[in-house]
Amino acid sequence: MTIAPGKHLDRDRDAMAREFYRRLAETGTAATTRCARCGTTRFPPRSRCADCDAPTEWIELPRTGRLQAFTTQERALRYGAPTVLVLVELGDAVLPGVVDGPIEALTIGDEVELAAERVEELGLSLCRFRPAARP
Amino acid sequence: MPVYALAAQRYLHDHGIEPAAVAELAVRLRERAARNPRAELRDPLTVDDVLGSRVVCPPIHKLEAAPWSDGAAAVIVCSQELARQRGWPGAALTGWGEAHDDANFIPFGRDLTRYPWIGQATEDALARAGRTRDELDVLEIYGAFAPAELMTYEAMDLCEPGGAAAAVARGELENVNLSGEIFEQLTGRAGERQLAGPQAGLVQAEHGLMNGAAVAVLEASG
Repeated sequence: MTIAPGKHLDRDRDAMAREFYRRLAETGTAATTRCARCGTTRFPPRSRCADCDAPTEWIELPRTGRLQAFTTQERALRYGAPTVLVLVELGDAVLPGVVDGPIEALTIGDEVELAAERVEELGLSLCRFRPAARP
Repeated sequence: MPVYALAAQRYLHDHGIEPAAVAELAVRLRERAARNPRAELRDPLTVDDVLGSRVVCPPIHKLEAAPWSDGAAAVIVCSQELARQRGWPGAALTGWGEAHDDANFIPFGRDLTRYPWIGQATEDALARAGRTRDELDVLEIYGAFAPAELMTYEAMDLCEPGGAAAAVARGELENVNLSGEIFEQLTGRAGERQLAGPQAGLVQAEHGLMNGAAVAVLEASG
């Protein structure tokens, strides 16, 4: 299955999204873009910098990061409670993903590790995170 | 809704705000609604009612969320001269502003509790109108959820970051969100809720997912 180009996305953005998911599926690592001129890292990836319009370059993000915020939703197509929706600070970027609940077990700042999850129905790997292994 | 909830969680966390302080906003807004016969939900609420309501999307309770409602509105725009000739009540649009974050969706990677585009739209509208915040007699500000509304007050520089809940609890911001009747207020038709001769008002609306804002300054057109 392929992702149909969204009506509101230009072709460039669609290509950047495809590259993100390709890398995630093939390497298990999340990547995004950094401006080659001003060095600003943004997520989602973009071919040009939103701040200075210079071309960007791909960078790999670390696999471990910290919870910026999290919540659950009682009704959802895919990830209803107790699955927890999270924002994770991964290096210089913040990525959305999911963590297994219960929500009560989590605290802002918890260290989590990316564990890409293959979803056959979508033909994609998505960002699932797990509590980072304690050293 | 999870986007608002994620922001709300950070808001409470970053500023050490108690859930009861957020619930207080819903209670106060309901008090105003109770006085407006055209409001949809008019039964009085207590902080305990709000905190005891279902947690729809943590930390947001059901009674801190706007209900699903159908509504309709019409705005007639004409010259002041025509309105006077016909004897139509009217308010003058004297300032407007619109601003958007550069992300076309959720602005990941920013401070989840700050919305500078709301501040920009507010500044632009006030500058066009030649008004200051202190000169505003009545403000109507959009809040899909109570925590988002508090963060919007702060983004509009009506109080300091993290200070909106405390300001509401102290009974400040009394001229904000009286009951959605800014036009009635500025045209002297708000019945028992009428303020004494308000001259300048401001309305703020959100578009996108808290990533864009539109603001207008309306003035009594005597």
